Amino acid sequence: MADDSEAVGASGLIKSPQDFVGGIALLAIAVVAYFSMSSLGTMRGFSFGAGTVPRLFCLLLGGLSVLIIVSSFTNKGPKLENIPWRGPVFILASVVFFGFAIRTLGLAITGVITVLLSGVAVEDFKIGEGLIFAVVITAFCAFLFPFALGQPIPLWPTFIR
Amino acid sequence: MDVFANLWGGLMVVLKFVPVDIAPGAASFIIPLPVNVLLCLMGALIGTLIGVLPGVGPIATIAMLLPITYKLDPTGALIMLAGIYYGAQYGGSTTAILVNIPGEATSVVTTLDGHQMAKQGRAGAALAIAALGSFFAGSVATVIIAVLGVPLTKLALKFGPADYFSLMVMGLIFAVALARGSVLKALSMVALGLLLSTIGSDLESGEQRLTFGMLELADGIEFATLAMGAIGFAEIMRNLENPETRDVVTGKVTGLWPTKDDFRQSAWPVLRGTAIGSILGILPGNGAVLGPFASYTIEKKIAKDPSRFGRGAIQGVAGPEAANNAGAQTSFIPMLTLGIPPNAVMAIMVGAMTIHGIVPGPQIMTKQPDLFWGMIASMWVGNLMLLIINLPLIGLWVKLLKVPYRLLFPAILLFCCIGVYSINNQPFDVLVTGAFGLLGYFLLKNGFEPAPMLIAFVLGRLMEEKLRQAMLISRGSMWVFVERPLSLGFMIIAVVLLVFALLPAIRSKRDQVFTE
Repeated sequence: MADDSEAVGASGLIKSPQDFVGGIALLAIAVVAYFSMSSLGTMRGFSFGAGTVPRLFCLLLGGLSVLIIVSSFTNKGPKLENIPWRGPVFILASVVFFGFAIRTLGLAITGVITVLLSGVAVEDFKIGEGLIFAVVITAFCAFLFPFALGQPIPLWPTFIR
Repeated sequence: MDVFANLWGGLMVVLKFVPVDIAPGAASFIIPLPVNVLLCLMGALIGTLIGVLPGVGPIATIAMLLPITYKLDPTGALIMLAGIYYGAQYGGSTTAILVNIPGEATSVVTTLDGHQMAKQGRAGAALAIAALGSFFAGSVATVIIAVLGVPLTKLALKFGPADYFSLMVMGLIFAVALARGSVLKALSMVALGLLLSTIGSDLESGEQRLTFGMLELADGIEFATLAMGAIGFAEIMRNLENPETRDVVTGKVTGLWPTKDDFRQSAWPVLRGTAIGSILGILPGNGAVLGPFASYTIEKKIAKDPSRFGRGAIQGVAGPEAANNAGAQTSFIPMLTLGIPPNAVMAIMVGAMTIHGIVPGPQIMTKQPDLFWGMIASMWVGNLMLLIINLPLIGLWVKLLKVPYRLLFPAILLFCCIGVYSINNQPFDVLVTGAFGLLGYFLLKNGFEPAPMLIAFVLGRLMEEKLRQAMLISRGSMWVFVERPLSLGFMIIAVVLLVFALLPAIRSKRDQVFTE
């Protein structure tokens, strides 16, 4: 089968898989948000309660995502892209690590590990080059942020400080 | 003339000499320094340095560099941020010309002819024309802001809550109409952005909304976390998918100065680009993004020999670059006079102003004239700085562009993490940014453009406030939005725009403009 640039996922019932998946996800967000707001205040007379506007936005999002889901059965669109897990996993891991470690391990250690961990996201990662680069970049940041700019970022781990 | 007196006053604020202790501590050594000019210079330099990195647009640059302005006084901080912004813009053009990677939507057009020129050994001429054209456009746009500032501020003070609300609705519809791809999907992104903006304590009752019991969310989401996550991190993840095909023009960047012929050919495109960019930049909802496209299309239409476009026509660089810079600058107008950011970059600026205790809106000009006019004058000074620092530094940018992406992105990531953490010294913000990165990646993967979400997020809180005020004043009557003439006008424009965006015939034309 010719796989040209106009490749569409027209197989089966769903004509536009990307719209379908995106629509479902947005609908889920709208539904979860809507039901989490059950305790919020409603309209009192013509004065808005705390929940009035968020509920309106939820209904807007939910309505639009239903429309997107419906249209995914009729309008042709591109296939789902395959997701290479390596990139997103290591990028997210390094960000999450930074978030959890910065307070306790300080920038000096957190920075090096964050740079190394994110570096693994590419296939041609080289440990030697990566390590040197991680140390250089962290040293630069350590000089720039806590020292030169006086940002209150912890530099050293709590057990040394 | 009042306008020029104001501008002159602003220029004085920028050029003011402040006694500075350059050796604090033991030996005090106080000399007068033009601090604001130096801040502007530093901002433009660092902005270009970061903005030149492939895949780092102005939004990420400003968000990343926001922490370095924390210790400055508000005027100095805003002047430096404006410098960073222009630097980032110009850095994006440099990358577009030298590497064929547009840093952001507005420099896509520059890659077409700019990179071709670079391949023909005329990178110097392309960069110089881009810088000169931008400087001219920036100078004109500065005067436009100064001229329009006063009357628009007066108009803004007459706005009631309903007018504000309708204006913001119109801005969001603009953003939808200008987004690529399906209108329905862009609308859903607006709805998601609005919903995200309601996270946090309710402004009247203080009830917790959508915080799911997390105390850290009580003040709402920081805009920078959404922008850096959904745009910055998501872009990095996306870039990693494609094996690198960077096409750096490594050859000698010699012959920097354009020829007489280049100047003759570029003069009119620059003038036209400036006019187009200035007008589109004022529109709410990211009109500035359209400027370079419109300018390129027009130049190609009226050219004697359109076939030269796409093969290194200097007009195709001069016009769009002028339009780009003019739009970048006039997009300050809605923010400074109405307090409504027209695009994500301005939204970051609003965030920066809030950090320094400034509430954007018509009251800035009356209550803090030094800040207002100082910032406007600094725009012009910033453009001048770019011209002075960038042309001699082209060699350095070329070197920086040769650094492989596998080394660049971890550094960018670390900068972003530190930047986000520094906003509130809150590790939680870093985690939120990571979550938005995942969300942004998912949206990109399925053809949802995050730009309308960002604008909606920024306008969301203000929209809710104005909506509630309007409904209170009108005693619950929805008619208030069509009874006030201003509000009615905005609503009509919004509806017409939405109808046009949804019409199939015009949609296919719009797609053409974007793919061209």
